[in-house]
Amino acid sequence: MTIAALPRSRSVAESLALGAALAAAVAVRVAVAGPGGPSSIGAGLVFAAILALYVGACRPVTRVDRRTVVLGLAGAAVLVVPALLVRGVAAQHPGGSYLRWSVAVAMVAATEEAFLRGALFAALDRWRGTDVAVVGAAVAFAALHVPLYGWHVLPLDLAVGLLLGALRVASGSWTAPAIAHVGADLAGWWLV
Amino acid sequence: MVGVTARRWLLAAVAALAAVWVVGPATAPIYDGIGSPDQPYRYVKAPPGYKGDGKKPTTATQVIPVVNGKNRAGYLNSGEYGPQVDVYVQPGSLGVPPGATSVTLKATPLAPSAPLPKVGTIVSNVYRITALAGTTPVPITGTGERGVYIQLRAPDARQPGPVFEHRTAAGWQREKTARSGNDIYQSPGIREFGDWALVKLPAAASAKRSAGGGVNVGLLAAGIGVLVLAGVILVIRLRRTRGVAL
Repeated sequence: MTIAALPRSRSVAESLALGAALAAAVAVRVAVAGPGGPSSIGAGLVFAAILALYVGACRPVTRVDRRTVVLGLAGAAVLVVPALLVRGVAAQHPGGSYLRWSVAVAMVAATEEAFLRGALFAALDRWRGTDVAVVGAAVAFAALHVPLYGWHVLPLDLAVGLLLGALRVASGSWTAPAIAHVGADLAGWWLV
Repeated sequence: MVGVTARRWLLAAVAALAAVWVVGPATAPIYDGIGSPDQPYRYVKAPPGYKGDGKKPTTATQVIPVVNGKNRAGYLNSGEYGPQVDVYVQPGSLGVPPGATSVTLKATPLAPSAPLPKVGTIVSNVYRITALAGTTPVPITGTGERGVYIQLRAPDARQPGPVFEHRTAAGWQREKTARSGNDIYQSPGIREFGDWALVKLPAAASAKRSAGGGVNVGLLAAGIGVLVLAGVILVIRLRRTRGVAL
C-alpha cells in the first residue's frame, strides 16, 4: 500500500493540522514581533524555525536538479519583472548589512515554501487533488501575510501563491518555488 | 517538458499576476519577506557625535487631484528608506478653495529652532507640512479617521519612545501619538498642517505616555497551544500513515 492510496480521512486530518499550525505560527510571529511587525528579524526567524519543525516531521519531496533550478529562476524573473516595470529600481536602498538581511529573508522564504508547497501541498494533493493543493496553498500563502502587512496585499500574494504552486506542479518539488520566492524577496532590496 | 496541469496553472498564475499588477499595484512590501533595515536617520542638523550616512534629508512633494471641489485621497513619503515623514490625506478632508483643481502637499525638513519645547527635546527633524492650492493655503476640515494622518520615523526604536508635538502660536503643544511600527510614530486626525516633530520627554513622563509594545503574551500562549495540539495530531497521523505504507 502506498501513501497516495491511504484513506482520505488521514490526509484531511493532516491538512487541517498543518493549516492550524500555520495559523498558530503566524500568531506567534505577530506576538513576538510586537510593534516591530514584519520588520522584526527575530520574529521572522522564530516563525521559520516553527515551520521547519513541521516540515521535518512531514518530510516533503525535496529535489535539486537543473530543471528545478531553471524553473525556480524563471519564476523569480516572472515575479520581479512586473515590479521593475511598474515601480522601477529604488533610488534609495535600505541601510544595514545586505548579507545579514538576505540570510534571514532566505530562511523565512525557503521554510515557507517547504511548508506550503511541500508539506501542506502534499497533504491537500492526497486529499483533494492537485488543483485544490495549488489553490489551498496559495490561499494559505496570501492569508498568512495579512496580519503582517494588511488586507491590501491579499490579491497580489494570492496571484504570487498561484505561480509558486504552478512551479511546484511543474517541478514536482517545493524547491523550485523556494528558489523563485527567495529570488523575488532578495530582489526587493533594489526595488521600489 | 511541463505537464498539462502545470502548464494550465502557470498560464493562470501569470495572467492573475499581470491582472493584479495592472489593476492595482500593491504598496510595499513587494511580495513577502521580513522588513528591510532602515537607513540611518538623516538630520538637517545632526546632534553632536552622530554618525549617519552623511546625506541630507529629502523634501517630499505630492500633488493631490481635486474633483468636484473635493480632494482625492493621497499621501506623500520622503525619499529615505524608510521614509522619515509620511502624510496621509483622506478624500474630502481638505477645505479646497473654489475653482482649485489640485492641492500640492509638501513636507520640508528643518532644524529645530527657537522657541523649543519647554519639556523634552526634539529628536527628529522638524517637518514643515504645507498644503497649497496655487498659492492659497488649504486647511484641514476632516476629523478623526476621515482627516489627515502624519507619520514620522524616529532616529531609533528605544523605548519609552518620543511623542508628537506641533508648533502653535503659543509654543510647542503635545499631540496624540501612536506607535505604528518599530520606530514609526503616527498622529491621527491632525487639526492643522505646520511644524511637526518628535519630542523625547524626560523618562518618567514619557514612560507614562508610552503605548507599550513588546511581546503579546496572550497571543503567544494561544499560538503555542495550537502549535502543540496540531503537532500531536500530525505526529500521530504521520506515524500511522508511515506504518501502513511500509
